[in-house]
Amino acid sequence: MAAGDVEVRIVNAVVADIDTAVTAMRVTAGANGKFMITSIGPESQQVVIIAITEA
Amino acid sequence: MAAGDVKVGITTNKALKCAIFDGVDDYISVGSATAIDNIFSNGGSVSFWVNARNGGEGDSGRIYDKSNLIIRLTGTVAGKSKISITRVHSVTSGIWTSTATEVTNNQWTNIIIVYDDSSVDNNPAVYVNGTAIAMTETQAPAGTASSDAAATGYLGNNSATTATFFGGMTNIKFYKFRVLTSTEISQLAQGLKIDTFKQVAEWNFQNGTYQDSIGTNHGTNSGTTITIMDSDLAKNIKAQRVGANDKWLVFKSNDNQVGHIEIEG
Repeated sequence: MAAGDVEVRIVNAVVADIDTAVTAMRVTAGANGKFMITSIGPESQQVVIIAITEA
Repeated sequence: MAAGDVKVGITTNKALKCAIFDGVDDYISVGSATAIDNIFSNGGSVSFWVNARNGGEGDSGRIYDKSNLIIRLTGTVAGKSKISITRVHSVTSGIWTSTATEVTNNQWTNIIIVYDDSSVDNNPAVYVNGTAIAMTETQAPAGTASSDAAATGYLGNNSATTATFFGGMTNIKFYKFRVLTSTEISQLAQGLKIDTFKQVAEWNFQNGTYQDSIGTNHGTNSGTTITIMDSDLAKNIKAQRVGANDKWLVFKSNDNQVGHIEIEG
């Protein structure tokens, strides 16, 4: 992944799933990667996690 | 744009309400009613929208599995998967796999299969986003196509729940005794509606349920959830980024679309 590349994941809004996703996305996005998160779904039962890779 | 300038975007294109499979054990059972039995007998067509995160459980994530008919992803390399179709026959099963990896991870992709399994001389025609793709016949069928009438149909898994799809799936349409034309295939790939002649099933999850909106093949889910995935989110943010010092905010917008704010650094 190059600087500016974006990865989006949607996972269930439970700690274990978010932990797993962010851990994996951190590897791709790098030490300076930026992360955002927001809930989604009819009852906010999922979250969207966005990672921007930065050099 | 200069430091401090702000850009706001809300993704709207192809924000598809879909069923999410976990790649572990989720599935949707759609039963085994006559309407969806032997869907390719004497010519049939199926259309799926998939947003796969990878090739699924065991790199064999099922898009659809009715025992004697299997449509799956496999051969995942560098973020792209192949499409494979298995049609069990009385002597030797026919297996066709896309020659190249065709389904890109984390993108909405339309897959349409048109096939007449009444002759072993026929091969499935597969279209990805409206374009015919090359398929390799990895095993030629022999005998006659075996009925799948006795088996339950599963979206996103097999009956043993050992081949779970990982990602989202929606707007699944089955047509029996109807071979879609190139125009119709193109229309479906653009997200347009076509007439429902000979359509026997549709699972689009738009009302938040697993019901068949055309027939009575209502789905029963295990583990899946219905939500909205927006294929353009990553693309839009990438396009909006100016530099490494940009600051970002994100929010859930109306109708579950995702809004994003960039403050240029």
